[in-house]
Amino acid sequence: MRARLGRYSLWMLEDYARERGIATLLILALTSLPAVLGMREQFGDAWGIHGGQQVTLAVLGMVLTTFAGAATLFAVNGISSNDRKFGYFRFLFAKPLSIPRYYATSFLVHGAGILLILGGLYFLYEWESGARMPLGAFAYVAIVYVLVGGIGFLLSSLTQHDGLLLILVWVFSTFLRDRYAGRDSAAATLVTVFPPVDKLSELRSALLLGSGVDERILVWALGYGLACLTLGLIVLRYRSIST
Amino acid sequence: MRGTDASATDDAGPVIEFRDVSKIYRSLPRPFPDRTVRAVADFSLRIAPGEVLGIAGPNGAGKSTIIALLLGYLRPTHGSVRIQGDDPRVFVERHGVGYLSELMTIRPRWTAEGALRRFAVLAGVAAHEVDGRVDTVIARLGLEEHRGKAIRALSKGNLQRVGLAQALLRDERILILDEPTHGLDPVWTQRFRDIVGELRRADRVIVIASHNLDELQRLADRVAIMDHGKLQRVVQTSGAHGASSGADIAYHLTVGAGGELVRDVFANAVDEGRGDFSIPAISLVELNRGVAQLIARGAMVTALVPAHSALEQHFREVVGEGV
Repeated sequence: MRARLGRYSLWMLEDYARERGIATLLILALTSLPAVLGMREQFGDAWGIHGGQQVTLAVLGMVLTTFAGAATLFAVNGISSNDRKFGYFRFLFAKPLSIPRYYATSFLVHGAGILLILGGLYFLYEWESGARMPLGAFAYVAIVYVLVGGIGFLLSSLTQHDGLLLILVWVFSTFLRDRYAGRDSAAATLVTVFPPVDKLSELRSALLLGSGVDERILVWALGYGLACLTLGLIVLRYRSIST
Repeated sequence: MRGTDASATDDAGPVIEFRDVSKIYRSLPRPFPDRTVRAVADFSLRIAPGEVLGIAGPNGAGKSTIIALLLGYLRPTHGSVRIQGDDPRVFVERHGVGYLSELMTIRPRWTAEGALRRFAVLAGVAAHEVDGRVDTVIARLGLEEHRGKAIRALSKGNLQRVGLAQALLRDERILILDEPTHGLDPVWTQRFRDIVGELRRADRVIVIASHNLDELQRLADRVAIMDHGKLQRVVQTSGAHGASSGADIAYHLTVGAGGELVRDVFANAVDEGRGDFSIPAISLVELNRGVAQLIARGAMVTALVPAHSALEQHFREVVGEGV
């Protein structure tokens, strides 16, 4: 008799919504509402009649980067380390339950939670404005989640300070890649091992505009995130969960 | 009762085996200064099917580390732990164990019933059986009036009962109970003892770690006494009492009449007033001879009990009188 993780994932989704989703929703509201209201004031009565699509894209361009990053950070911060920190692992893993399987499911559920929040707000926005929303935004958020979330997952499997470290990795990678990208030096070669966070804005533009996505960037970003996720699962398989 | 060696076998073979297990915690990796803590050292023990094993020891003796090793939450630095021949983590992931943690770490927001439902699903209970199983353990542990309360709103005793309830959701072959009666009132402490009695089964192993020696004396077949990370002694407890072992032990004697005779017979006895006397450790032969003399000289003996349980006597010998 094994744990029924499929059934349990509904409770994981509920936990995500209560413990992380509300914060994510607040971030989205705080980052998007001022932009939407500003645009609306600017357009006045013409809102929804003229330039709805342009407004949508303009707002999305501003909001999506912040949302994808913040939502991912909230979703993976402490994803496994909190259970070690607060001792929740004790009762969980006395059940017939694989530790990597449990956290892999949790990672998927949190990702689905982010997309559900985005979908809900998309629905409201479309209903209110009548503008068509580009579905590429979902793909962009999913890619950010796989890349940045995968790194966060690995960090969470290793340390209890994963949230802070994830921010540092992100900032440090962005800085180094901006500084050394395209240069012909050893340093430029070295920074390629850092996550390709500088390529995300290219992906975002291409996905929102529906233009062609550079497949090499896409594969590199997804591959990097999935490799980190896999490493995190291996760490969880072999590390002592009790500290 | 005497200390025994650390082996217990059965026709079905040992269910659980610790072999030369050591667990060393390093605060920093090499080459930093070596600040290591040896939580468990050279621990070997076999636990047979059908057995109730107690683990006793003072704080920091290594009891919790042994349990974490048994659940696969920690890996031994040296030696091996096997359950049915498997690595503990492999066994637990395949079969699960009933585990009551000393630390009641359940998310405070969950309700008692909600937590039990979740744990039932994780324990692999079939969807159509979850309601029935949850209702059964709620009734068994007297949690009906608390089922809708949040975990954070439960008293220590009720929380302990929720912890025990989740350990009993499935018919596990291995039960590991860490300080199971901590926080329980006397009524539920007795009820817990009854439950352990009901859970005894030829193919089941029950491991109980406790500070409460009286409890272990009553419940366990053997008690492993640990100190400083080492297994100091394994004591056979089932059906035995200190007085029958032949060891010199201390007694409490109460007389209804003839109190003035007691110190004539037991020269080192201490008068504690109101007919109560403490008799320092003596042999069973000396005790019987003395009591016979008292009765022959007209004293009325109303009570005679060992000053310490036999297990406590062993514990004091191993760990020291200061405990």
